[in-house]
Amino acid sequence: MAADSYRSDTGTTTAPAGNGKESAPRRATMAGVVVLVALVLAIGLLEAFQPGGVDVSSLTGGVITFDTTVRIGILTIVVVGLNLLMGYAGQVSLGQAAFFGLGAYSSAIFTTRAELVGIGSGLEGRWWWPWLVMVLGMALTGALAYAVGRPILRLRGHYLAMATLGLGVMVTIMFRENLGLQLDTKDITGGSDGIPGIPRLRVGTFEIWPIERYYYLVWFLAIVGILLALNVVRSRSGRALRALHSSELAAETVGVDTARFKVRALVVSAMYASIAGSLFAHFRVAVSPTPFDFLASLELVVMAAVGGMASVWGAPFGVAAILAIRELVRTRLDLVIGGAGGEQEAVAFGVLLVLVMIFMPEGVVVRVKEVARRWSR
Amino acid sequence: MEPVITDSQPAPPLLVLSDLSMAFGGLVAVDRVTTRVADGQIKGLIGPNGAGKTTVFNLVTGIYPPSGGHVEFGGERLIGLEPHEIAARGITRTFQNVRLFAHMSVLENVMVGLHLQTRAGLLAAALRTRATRREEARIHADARDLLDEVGLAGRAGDRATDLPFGLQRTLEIARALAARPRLLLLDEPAAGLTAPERRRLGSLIRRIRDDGTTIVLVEHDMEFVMGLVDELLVLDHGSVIAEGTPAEIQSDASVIAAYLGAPER
Repeated sequence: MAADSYRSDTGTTTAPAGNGKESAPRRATMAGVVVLVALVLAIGLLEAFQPGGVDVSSLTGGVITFDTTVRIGILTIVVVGLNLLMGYAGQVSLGQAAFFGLGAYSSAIFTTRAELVGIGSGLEGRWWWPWLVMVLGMALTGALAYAVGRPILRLRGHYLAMATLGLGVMVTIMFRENLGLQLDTKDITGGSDGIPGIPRLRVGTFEIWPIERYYYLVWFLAIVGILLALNVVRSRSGRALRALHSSELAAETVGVDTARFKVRALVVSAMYASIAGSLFAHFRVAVSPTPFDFLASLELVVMAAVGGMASVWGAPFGVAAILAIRELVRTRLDLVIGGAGGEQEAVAFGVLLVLVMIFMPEGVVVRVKEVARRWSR
Repeated sequence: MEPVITDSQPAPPLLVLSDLSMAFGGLVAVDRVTTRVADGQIKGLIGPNGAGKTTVFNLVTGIYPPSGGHVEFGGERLIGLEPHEIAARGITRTFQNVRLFAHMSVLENVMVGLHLQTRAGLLAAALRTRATRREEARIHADARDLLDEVGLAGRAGDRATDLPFGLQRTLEIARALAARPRLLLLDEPAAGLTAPERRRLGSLIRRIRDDGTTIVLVEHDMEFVMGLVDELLVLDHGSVIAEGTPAEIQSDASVIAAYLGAPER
């Protein structure tokens, strides 16, 4: 009897709305995918047919070239992974560019100089070898992330940021210094010059190049990456990550092995970065240490933050916004401030970032979602 | 200082604390506490502020390793296990200052509580295999049932921290219950609640016990505790000063002294 009185007092309205609510995120996901696919196709077709001489570059005043759209796709993959780690699990990585670089260098080394690391050179000619290397790179990078994360993530607090910072610096030095070996005796990473001559990707004899083809490959993988991440976010693992982000203690006391889930998030984010790195290597057909240094890691964190921290969809927006702002500053600043150079560019870039964070503190994607919601009414 | 021991409990003890001690630096927060909690009991843990009540909970749930003594649960020693391993063995808890998962919905909070009831791995989740979907549907339904049971079904979609404080406490209990514990530790569940909320909480706690979960609760509100528990353990400065039924404790001179200072003349 007492139980019943309890129920009737607090059980306000029993909600039949509940069933509608649980499928709502899936419907939103489908809508998001449709929009993104349509956008990707639209840009691809625009570039292919250039109606009236208009292409992506001329439409955006040269700020976003077709080349940039491919880079946005590649970095989207990195940032989706970073978002799982930072936005959901609340663990900061300041060395994500190193994982990106490990993927790129794995592809570069194994597809141009495999014999140097003890693998027969007969494989290099096979079309499937670079694809296999991509998977291999993911495994290697994931294993390294595990080795670094396992001892660190048993601790609570921001130790991961320090550990990944150190790892990132170390990895760039290893690239730059040819793993400490003499360049003239055994050239593995190519030192500061890096590794040229990376082959294009092929399927059988079908080469995934020119850039129009590569664009579709990159965005296909980016969308698959987004979908997989969305599934994870809405699963037991995703809930465990978000829970431990709020309170590791409370998550532990309902049985969540927080150390294990944090390590998993780190490994997954490293694998996302690695495959993106491989795509980058086959895109540029050369790698050098600079795009994978500490500044690049910072920029990735900024992209995740600008896009929206706990949002998988934020990734492409964050990446696009940062690349566009940087390009805008680089090409347009001297119109506002005569004779502006690199230093003024850095300041202007910073100011614009601060403005974005002031007006969209939860990330660009939250604003985009608001607008989309208004439209769909 | 004589502990009052009741020997009217035929059931084997579910939880046994033996000489459990905890020192933080020079401060002895818990000093050789020995007690047993019988299966199916509601046991109260009372004492003045700083008596070490919450520390006892933290020791039992593995948040601190004790400096001495041990905890036995269902015949197994718990010392050295991680908190999540202890949860998996059937002890869950709530916190004095409610610790909900702030950015998650009411329903999701309970679904995290069902973590131990699920198996889906990361890859299976990423690919949304049929087994994963089935598991998700099951715990979704289970979580709803639980919310229904505690009267929160109407708030399932709300953000957990948007609930009024009293309901946040209820939600935290529901989350702890979701793991289907054999022993539930409630740390000041009635603190900050209004009188009607306390009454509802009391009946909820009784109902949980009737469904087969043993309960230990820390509480300051004497009226609330006395009408609810089967047995009380009184701590002062980390040591047990009395143990017995509410009636026995109410007439115990050392308890009165600890609570009210020197007895009134």
